[in-house]
Amino acid sequence: MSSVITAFDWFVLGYFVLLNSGYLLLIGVASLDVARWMRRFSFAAHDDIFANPLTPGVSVLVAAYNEELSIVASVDALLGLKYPEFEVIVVEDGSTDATFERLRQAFDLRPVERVIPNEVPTLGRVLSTHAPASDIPLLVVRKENTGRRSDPINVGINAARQPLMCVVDADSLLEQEALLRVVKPFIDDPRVVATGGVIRAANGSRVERGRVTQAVMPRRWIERVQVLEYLRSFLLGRTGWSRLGALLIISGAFGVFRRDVVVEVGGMNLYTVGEDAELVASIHAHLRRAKRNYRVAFVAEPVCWTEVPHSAAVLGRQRRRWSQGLGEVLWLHRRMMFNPRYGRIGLIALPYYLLFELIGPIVELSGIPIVIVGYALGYVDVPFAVLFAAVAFGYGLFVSLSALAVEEFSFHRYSRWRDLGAAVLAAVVENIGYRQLHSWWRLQGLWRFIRGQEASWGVMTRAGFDSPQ
Amino acid sequence: MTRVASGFVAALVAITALLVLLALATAVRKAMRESRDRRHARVEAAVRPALLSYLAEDEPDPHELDEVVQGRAAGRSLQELAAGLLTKLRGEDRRVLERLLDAQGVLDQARRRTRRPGPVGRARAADLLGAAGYEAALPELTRLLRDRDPDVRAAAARALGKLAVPSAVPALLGSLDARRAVPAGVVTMAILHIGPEAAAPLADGLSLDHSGTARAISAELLGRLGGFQAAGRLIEALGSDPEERVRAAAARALGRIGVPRSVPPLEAALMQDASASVKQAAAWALGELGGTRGFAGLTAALRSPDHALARRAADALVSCGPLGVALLQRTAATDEPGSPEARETLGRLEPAAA
Repeated sequence: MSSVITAFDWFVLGYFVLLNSGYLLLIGVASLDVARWMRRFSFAAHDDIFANPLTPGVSVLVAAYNEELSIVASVDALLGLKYPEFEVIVVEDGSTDATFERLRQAFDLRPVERVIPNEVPTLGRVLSTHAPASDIPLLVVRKENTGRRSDPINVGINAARQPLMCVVDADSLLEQEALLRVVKPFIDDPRVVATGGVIRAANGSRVERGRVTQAVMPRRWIERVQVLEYLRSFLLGRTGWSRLGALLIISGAFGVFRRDVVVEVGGMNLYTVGEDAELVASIHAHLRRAKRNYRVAFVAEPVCWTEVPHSAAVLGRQRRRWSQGLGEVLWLHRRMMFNPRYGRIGLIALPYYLLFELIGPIVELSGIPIVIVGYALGYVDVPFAVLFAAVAFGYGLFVSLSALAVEEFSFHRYSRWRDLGAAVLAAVVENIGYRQLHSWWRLQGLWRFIRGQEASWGVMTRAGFDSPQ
Repeated sequence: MTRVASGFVAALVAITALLVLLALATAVRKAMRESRDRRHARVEAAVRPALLSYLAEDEPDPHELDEVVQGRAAGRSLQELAAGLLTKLRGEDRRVLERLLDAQGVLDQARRRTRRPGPVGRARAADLLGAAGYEAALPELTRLLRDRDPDVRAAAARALGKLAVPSAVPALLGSLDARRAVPAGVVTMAILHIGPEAAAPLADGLSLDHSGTARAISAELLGRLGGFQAAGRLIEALGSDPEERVRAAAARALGRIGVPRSVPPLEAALMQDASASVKQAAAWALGELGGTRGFAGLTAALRSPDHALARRAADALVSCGPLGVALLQRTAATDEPGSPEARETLGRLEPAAA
């Protein structure tokens, strides 16, 4: 029995070391990319992209379900984007709150005729289309709710008329130049078919007229930990994956795609909750099979600010959904796994997500009962176990602080010393309690995937942005 | 203590040391950056008024700033401010700034920096030479179009555009097909910067000696720059170019240029071309040209199962005047193909009429 517990301890430690080393490697690779981006920013000529009449137009797609608190601020921010040619298409997915009414009042919406062809499959019937009386490039499509986020997005894809489409969450705020920057890879390299932009947590930050004017760390620890998570995983993790040529996830909160390629793969999958990752995986699968030369890129600075969950209950729902979605995506694309035909996606990215993201919570959580049982049976050497845990904890903390250091050396969005201090403390707090709770939510999500629970939007309670009057 | 436990202790000590070092490095970096920003703001606050009053003078002497701007930091700040203002100013103020940078040796230095080993230095040099409109740097910038770094090539192309020299157009078009190519978006903007004088060399770009990318861009830009003289070659490209993107670009260009003799070839493209994108471009172009001469083709296109084509045909029919609007109204009242597109177009007309 003792040797079984010892062997398991070593397995868990090895797993932690591998997991955190993976993160560290991604952060290291990302830091090179970020440094390069910073050095070259002064001659990136985003103004030329804005001035060029041949810059490809973008349809910005927003799926909105019960977003009455933030929808007007979000659409306001989108309409104020600096970009030569774009349209904003809000697909109001049968909300039960005043989402449409808020939009109607704010933008003086009137019913209009709009041809929406069926290029990608949809489920819910389109009820009506609305546009402002003025020339504002906004279209609001009302449709029946089907409980799936991918359905309104697919309606938006069908309604879109620009060669590029940008998918944005209704609770997100894009920075004014975000679209120019995230579209730049399409202009620089005709092989690019999709790009993702950075998502940061807006909680606690000062928001004026749909713009984050000052980044501030939120007050609640659960939000602070998410700021750190977003920094580590969304900014540096995805920049690292992009640099390695194996980017599998572009967040549904902010991603740009070539519309024709999205139509080729049939739009978003209507039967998964991981529709954003599934779309990117489908694009990889389709273009690899067709032997087409393509790129999926990530841009480290076009920032999309989003409101992250402010309570454990809401966060738990979100993370269960993410974990279930990941399981569904990996299952749907299992043919690519360990398959050299799919290059780095099949050989590196998918196995990584399987081993460290999907089944990670099983390994992390199984350690707790085994240590308790081992202790009760007298098989656990307490000083040794404490040392063991301290090394695992310290390495995790080092990874988080490395991410913070890269942020401070590059973008340094949080200007106050107290924000830096709060972020350091959040890195400590994250490992005590939060990490275990997070693993529990992910395990529940995995269980939902195994049971084949049906996909749904999920109820995300919003507090709205902190907009001073 | 066992060897394993000793190993753990050593690992813990090493991690703790790294954590402390990382925290210290982050804090020091933040403190240094804040201090540098404050110093920079202080220097700039002193230099900016001197530069602005210099610009306001009738006959400024570049050397009079030497008395005000003393020290390396102030000199660098002056050059940064002047270079930054270059892109914002026009006319005499801009020429004064160019003379100032020239007198300070900044532009000659930038020419030399186009040979620096680091790509960032080369790109910044190209950027400055372009912003200053420094024509003497044409050979350096043309050379940088073949640089090994893509960002340097793009910076050189943009700079060539800002020099506004039509003789740079063949090199810019050539850079599209080079082994180390310049992105099409960068080249188009550079040629647009050059302006209508670029039309003549662009017309040569329609020749089949060039790649499809170069021909498509030449056609597109001829439309944007009003290349009336190239209308014949655009009509020829619309009818016979082997690549659909070139034919589509030629159709759009003819629509923009607005030469009446392009209506029959556009209508022929609308009716007979095999490519959906060419048909759509031809429908749009006929709408831009107006009149009723393309009416028959547009009427057929309105009933196309291709929604994008039907929509463009519906929009174009409005420019056919009462005849086109009456057709849209008749179609809108039915369930025939083209009726949703007709209703959408008429719906847009109503608020405008009101």
